[in-house]
Amino acid sequence: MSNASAVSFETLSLIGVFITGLLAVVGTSTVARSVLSARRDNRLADVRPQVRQALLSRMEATDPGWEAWVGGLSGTERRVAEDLLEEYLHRIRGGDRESLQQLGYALGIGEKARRKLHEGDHLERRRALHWIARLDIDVTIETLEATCGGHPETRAAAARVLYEQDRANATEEGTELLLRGTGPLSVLGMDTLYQLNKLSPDLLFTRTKESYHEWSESRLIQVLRVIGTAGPASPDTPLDWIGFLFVSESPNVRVAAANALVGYGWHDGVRSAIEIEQVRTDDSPPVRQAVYQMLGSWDDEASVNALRNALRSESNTRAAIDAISALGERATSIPESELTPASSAARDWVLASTEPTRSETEQ
Amino acid sequence: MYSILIADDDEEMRELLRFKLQNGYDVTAVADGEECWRYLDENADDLPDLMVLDVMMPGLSGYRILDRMRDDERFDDVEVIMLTSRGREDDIVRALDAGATDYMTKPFSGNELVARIQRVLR
Amino acid sequence: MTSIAEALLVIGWFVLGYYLLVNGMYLTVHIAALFELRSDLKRQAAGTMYQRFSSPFFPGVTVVVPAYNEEAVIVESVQSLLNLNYPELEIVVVNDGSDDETLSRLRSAFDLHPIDADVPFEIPSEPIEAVYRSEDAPGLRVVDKENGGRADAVNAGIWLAEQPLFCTIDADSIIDRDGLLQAVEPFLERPEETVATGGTIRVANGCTIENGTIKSVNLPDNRLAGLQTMEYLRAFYSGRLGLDRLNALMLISGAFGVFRTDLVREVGGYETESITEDFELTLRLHRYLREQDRAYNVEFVPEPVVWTEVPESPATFSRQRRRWYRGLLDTMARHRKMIGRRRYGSPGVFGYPAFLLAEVLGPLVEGFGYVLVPLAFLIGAADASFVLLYFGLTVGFGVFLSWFGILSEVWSFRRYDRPKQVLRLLGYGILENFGFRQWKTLIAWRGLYEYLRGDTSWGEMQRSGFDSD
Repeated sequence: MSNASAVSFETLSLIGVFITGLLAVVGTSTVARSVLSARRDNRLADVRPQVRQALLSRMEATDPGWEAWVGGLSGTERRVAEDLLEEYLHRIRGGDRESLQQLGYALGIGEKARRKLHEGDHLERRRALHWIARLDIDVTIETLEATCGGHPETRAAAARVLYEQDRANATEEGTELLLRGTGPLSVLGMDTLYQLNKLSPDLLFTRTKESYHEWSESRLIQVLRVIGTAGPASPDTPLDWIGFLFVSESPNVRVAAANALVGYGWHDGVRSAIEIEQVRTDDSPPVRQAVYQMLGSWDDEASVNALRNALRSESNTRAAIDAISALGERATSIPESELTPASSAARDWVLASTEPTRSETEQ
Repeated sequence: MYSILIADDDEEMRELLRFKLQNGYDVTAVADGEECWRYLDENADDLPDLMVLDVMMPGLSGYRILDRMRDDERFDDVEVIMLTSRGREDDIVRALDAGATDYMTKPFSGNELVARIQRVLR
Repeated sequence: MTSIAEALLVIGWFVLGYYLLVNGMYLTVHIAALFELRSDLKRQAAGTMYQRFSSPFFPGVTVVVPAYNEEAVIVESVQSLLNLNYPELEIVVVNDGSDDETLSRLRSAFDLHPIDADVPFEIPSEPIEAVYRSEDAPGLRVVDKENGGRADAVNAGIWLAEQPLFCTIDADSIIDRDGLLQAVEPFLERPEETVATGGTIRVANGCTIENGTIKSVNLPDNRLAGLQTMEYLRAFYSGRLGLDRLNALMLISGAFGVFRTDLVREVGGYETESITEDFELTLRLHRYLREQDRAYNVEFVPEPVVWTEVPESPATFSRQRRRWYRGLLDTMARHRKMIGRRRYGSPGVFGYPAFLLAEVLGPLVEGFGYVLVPLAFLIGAADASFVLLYFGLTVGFGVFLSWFGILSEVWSFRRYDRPKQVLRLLGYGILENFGFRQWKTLIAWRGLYEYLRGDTSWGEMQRSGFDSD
């Protein structure tokens, strides 16, 4: 029988008290927080319908008198109003939107956004920019530069502000902000770059030509993608340099280059820069896929012939599928002898996948 | 007074639309595709004159409702304005092909919607 | 005291110390999680400044649904996927050689027509019988193939996927209607680096489900399911989220993960020999990318994204957990090269050892303690005070971690927003430590035994379908 007490009574009770205390604190905080939150939710839900009605009525009125209204709101009602404002600004455009923006000012959101722009961390500054765009607040480009120029995410958001506010030099200034540095963009950045340049990618072509060897590969691919999505360049834009991208060591860059030139068959600079035979026989199958798509969009005699030649030797089925799709109707008339097994299987697959389905009922 | 049926799973959207339209029209709102179809079916002899129909709803999507309506002659006279967040060419074509009278993208302009409805329901 | 008794006492202290160490780690991770959560919530508050649905740069997703004998839920499940709030989506259902009505129900529900040609490219899976397109739903394709297991089925789906991202979901799980939008966030912030994201799983039992979406969140009636709800909450905060902050994220759970399609094809898809394929794939991705010195990002999305049905019967639960444990052992063994190696960055230096200590050895040591300590008491090696200390500390710390998890939930997402639910959860937090966790350690030992014996069975859960109104 042992008589050695492993742990003294005092220690045990101390530990016991400590644990019980800790649990009591956690337990009561949890319950208290839950109860308070539920009550708050109920309060918010209760007032929501009438705040909504009041808000919408004033939104339509010629003289909404937002200040007076906001002044008369309780704390709860004010919170609901802010929430509704956010929801509606997301869903509405046009005349009502301007009215809602006035509400934003009356609620002090504009002030807060300006303040946070100078004082907040980068996430808070992003939120501030979000509101600045939404409420169409006038912030000078200098302020934007000073507060947001340092971080790629805030730069992208600032560029977005320029776009949303439809400023005079939005395209140049926004593009400059976005393309500063060398790292990749977020989707916000890409979308903004696109929106600013969608009518003409000439500026993007110029910037790419100047800087592509400095940019990270990811950034280059993204910019090429934006170029490809945007409208056509002007015929005089010098594009001969683009041939260099097709000899890049990275297959991803070559793919991106081909994707960017979809629809550029008419451009003399592109045609002189690109040696069709060379690009369509690239070693990497994903690159060939992209080239076939590109040639399909060019749709002239040289391209069509190149595609048919490709099918004669293509061994990769995914690539062959793209070549077949690129040829469209013409693919059906190619004799079997001119197709590799891969191309033939690809053709069967593409035709079977795209034929109109018969609407017979299955028994 | 003409009657309008709003079908959208987004609560704030429904409230917005209802508010915009309630002055000139008799408005009913439903929150999803199944409810919408049920309403149409049950009120076949007193159909709404126009529907504002959201494309992406849980249950039955706006497109499927349109398809069903086109196949059922009871609903031939109901005008439909499709509402969607996407606004891409193939979506627009698909909606108009399926029989929609008109098409609006979100974010939408309340005044524009009212003007389009007024043009249809004259 | 005899030397045996002394030894027993010493081991007893060791077990207690180990337990405190492991749970201390969980607590640290949990606190790290809260910081991560704060910045995530701030990021969410920052809002989206562009229109996601009309942006040409918003990544498209293929949802791959492996299905084996899922006739009870498959149509409902696919329908809810088709209604997901997401701009560019395609669904690929893979019928893994079911011998029930799965395929025929799909065929009639969605007006499927087979593509009249063989799949032209190589797919690393069991042979494919046919690929179907849907007349009704242009974004849906169904692949009918010979049985090969879940991983095999998912691989077939991945190879046929046409979108740059894919995710996998089991037929008995529900994605939150906005869940995909949230899960894809990291791909929007860092589109070039992000290779995989994981979504939080919550328990669907008891929730009201309509049209394949969660209408209201309720706690399950079944007690075992309730305990698991508590467990999922705690595991989320003390596990995934914090590890993500520490960049050691090891596991993208099988119930939901979004991956880059081309990258997963590059590494060869899922490993069909593995029992917990998703965990194994994640580790393999970490290794592959680190070995190639590629900058990459694997991230975890804290918002609840997926709701899944958990086992309500002890037998099914035990089978599932044993499988998880065997899978854990198997995957850890496969990738043991990672342990402590700086080459593998944070997952190697921190993640792997932590997992080993906490998830592999932890339950074994704890289980050992439950036998050892009473034994020591019986033979007089340990006295009442030690036993009191042992159980007092383990239960106390256990309840504390569980309650801390509930507190964190109440401060952040509040999916369980009614105080009554919170009280019940707190109750489960206590109950968990009187039977449930002890049972889980027994399951771990059984799992170990089965693993050493070479058991690789999969087991099945009986589907009861979803609640519908």
